[in-house]
Amino acid sequence: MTPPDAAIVPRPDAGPRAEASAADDAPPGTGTAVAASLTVRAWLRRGAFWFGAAGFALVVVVIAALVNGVTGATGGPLDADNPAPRGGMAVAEVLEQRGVDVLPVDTLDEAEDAAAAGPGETTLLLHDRDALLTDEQLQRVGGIADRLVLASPEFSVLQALAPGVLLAGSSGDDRPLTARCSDPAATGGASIRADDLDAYRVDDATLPAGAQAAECFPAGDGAVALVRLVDGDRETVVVDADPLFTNDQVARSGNAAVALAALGSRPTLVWYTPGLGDVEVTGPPSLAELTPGWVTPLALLLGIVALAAALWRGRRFGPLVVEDLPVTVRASETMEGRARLYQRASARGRALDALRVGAVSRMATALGLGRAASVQDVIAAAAAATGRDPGDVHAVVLGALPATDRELVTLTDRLRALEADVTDAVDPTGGRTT
Amino acid sequence: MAVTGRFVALLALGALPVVLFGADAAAGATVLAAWVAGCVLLGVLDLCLAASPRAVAIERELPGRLRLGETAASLLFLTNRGRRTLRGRVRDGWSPSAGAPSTRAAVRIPPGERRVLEQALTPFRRGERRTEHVTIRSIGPLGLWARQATLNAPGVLRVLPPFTSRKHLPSRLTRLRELDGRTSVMIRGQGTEFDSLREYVPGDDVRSIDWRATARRSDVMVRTWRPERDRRVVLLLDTGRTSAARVDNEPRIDTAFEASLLLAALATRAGDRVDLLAYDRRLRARVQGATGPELLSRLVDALAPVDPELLEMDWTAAPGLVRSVTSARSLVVLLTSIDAAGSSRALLSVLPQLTKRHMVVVASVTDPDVQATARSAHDRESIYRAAAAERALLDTARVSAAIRRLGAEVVTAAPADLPPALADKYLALKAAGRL
Repeated sequence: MTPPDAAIVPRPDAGPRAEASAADDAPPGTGTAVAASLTVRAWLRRGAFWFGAAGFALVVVVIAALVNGVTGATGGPLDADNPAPRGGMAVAEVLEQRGVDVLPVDTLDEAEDAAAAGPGETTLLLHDRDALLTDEQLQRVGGIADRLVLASPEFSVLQALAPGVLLAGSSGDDRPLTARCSDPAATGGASIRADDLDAYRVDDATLPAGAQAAECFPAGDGAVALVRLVDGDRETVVVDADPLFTNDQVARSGNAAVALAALGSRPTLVWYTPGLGDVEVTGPPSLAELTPGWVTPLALLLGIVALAAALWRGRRFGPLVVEDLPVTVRASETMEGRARLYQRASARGRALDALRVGAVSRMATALGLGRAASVQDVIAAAAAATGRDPGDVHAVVLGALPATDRELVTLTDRLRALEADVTDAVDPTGGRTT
Repeated sequence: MAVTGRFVALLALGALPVVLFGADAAAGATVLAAWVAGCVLLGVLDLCLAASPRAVAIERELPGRLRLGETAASLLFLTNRGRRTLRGRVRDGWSPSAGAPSTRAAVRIPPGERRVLEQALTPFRRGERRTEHVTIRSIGPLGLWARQATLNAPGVLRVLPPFTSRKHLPSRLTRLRELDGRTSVMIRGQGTEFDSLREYVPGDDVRSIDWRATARRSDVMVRTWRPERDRRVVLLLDTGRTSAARVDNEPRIDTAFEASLLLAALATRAGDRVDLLAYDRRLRARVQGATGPELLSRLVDALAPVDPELLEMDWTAAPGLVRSVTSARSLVVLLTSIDAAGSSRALLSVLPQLTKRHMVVVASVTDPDVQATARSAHDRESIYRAAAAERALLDTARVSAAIRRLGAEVVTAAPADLPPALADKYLALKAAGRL
């Protein structure tokens, strides 16, 4: 703490007043001064309304969250745990109920771990919506399971995992597509329907030798909504699962049947949506990797210390003291204002007039003339006293009018000189009288 | 509640364990959380162990009144009625103009004991300087957290006008005595009253021989005279807006206080009765019926808290006010400002009512700045300023002439000269017997 102030010195009270005080008789805790600041309890009581309002708001928020479900924790489109309209939770839940072990993963390593049952027992749903995987990684994906479902694949995914299948653009408007499948085993339903559904095309020229492609749900122009490639043990289904299998679309027409047929044929379904964990890091290590682990906690600590320091210095030592300040007006303000007005308006005549009247009254006093003396009397007396030409004195005191500021200065100087001469002539000692 | 610098330092010390043991972010966060929690725990413990700042009895000892510029000791007695030793700081809530060098002090009061805080107050403004409360910050034994409470402990220090013009009093009293002595032998006239008869000595004015008494006695008797006594002097102070203006770094109202105090001191010695009224649109101060030393003390007491109000002086009430004090002929001194014909119109309109019954003196401060400015004229700007100053002086002169025409006297002087000038005018009126 700071040292005690020199000017205000506490000392033990040894004066007679110590005995005279009621402190000795009174039991401790009585006779104390009345506190102006609130106790904690009184403070709580005074703020009861606001505390109550805050508590009420909190309760409302909690209830609203419980009623609406925790919608805030939504994932991306077609995530197995996303209950939003574009999520894939409905399909995942139904598959779970049917005994399929649905394993949502978001990195390649996890996907490989999840498919522990072996490639023959596993279906892998790949939904690489951001095209994060490299060709190398896609080859690894192909090795995880024999049965792949490529959900809404990008060009690179098709290139790597379903060669021979090409993107054919959007099927356009929202109309039902009937199966008309070359291989009925590929589909579970008679028709599908979804808005803005992407279609695919099989290019026989690039199709690997020995592979068979079943095309279902033709959308016109040789394009189809679902392609099933069978190449020995390997089976690959290409379908635009987003929007076909999303929560809001899966119940339409035969969408659900197609989804269950595509995903539910094996006991394990690895629901793989590649995330940032799959992105290969290139370039120099980031700042976060270079800094030691204690930097973030230290920054946090510094923040807390700053907060404590703000509390330490900012806590007011008692209420503010009010001081009524006096009005401070300089009396000569009006004079200064008038001078500025004269100057701005170039009121030379008026200014010189004031100076002349003052000088004449002072000269009249100096020359011993009474209050009743006229200006002419003063001019005559001044001329006589100083020996100047009366006409000249008349011009200085009364006659000449200044046309410019220079003339004003000249006339004022002459007036001052005349006044000084009169004063000197009357009183040779030089003492001035007013 | 308040935290101390020591608590902040303790928190900052947590940087050491965080750096030493925070190999990765998770460990660092754990160490940080543990350290902060430990510090807060210690703080709470400290807070629980601190003495209650509310269990303090407060008494004050104040001189009550002092002149502006003097220094007074303010004693603050703090009795710890709690069961723990109170350690911490105390702030006495004096307003800044009370002139306390420092309002804070460190204290240590064992339970049941009392300490006194002594403080030298040098107020730099007139009026009532107040303190409303004492704030006590009781720091815990570890010196980390503190309890704080503000206790009501009002104190008032009345700061009186300085009355610096009392230095003029001895010379004026001498003149008063001369007046006394001289008139008993030399002067007779309308302004003096008959005192006694005594035998003629050479040098006495033959006109003061009382022939009737001489006829009764065998000796030549002369009448002796003395100056009038038991006249009334009514001081009416204008506390309106013009009294707030500062002339020579002194508000007009303070000059008016000085002048009225000097005049009152002089007049009460001369045996006259002095009453004072301070008025703008409301009566701000009133002193009536006091004489001798009590008069001055009551005057300074009444004037101490009077401040200029931002109101126009209501001159129409002035005759009524004077009548409420006395109906006898008296010397009415109006302490106001005469600036311009416009602002003095109200004063001029009520003067005839006052001059009809009373001897009226109007006292006003003139600005020496204006006089000096009127003389200096060397370039264009200063000529305009000089012209404005001359115009202001002419305005004052015109108002003064108007007041004289209405039968009142005018006293104008610079702030330092106005009190003696008013006293001289009083002496002159007394010598001439015009009271």
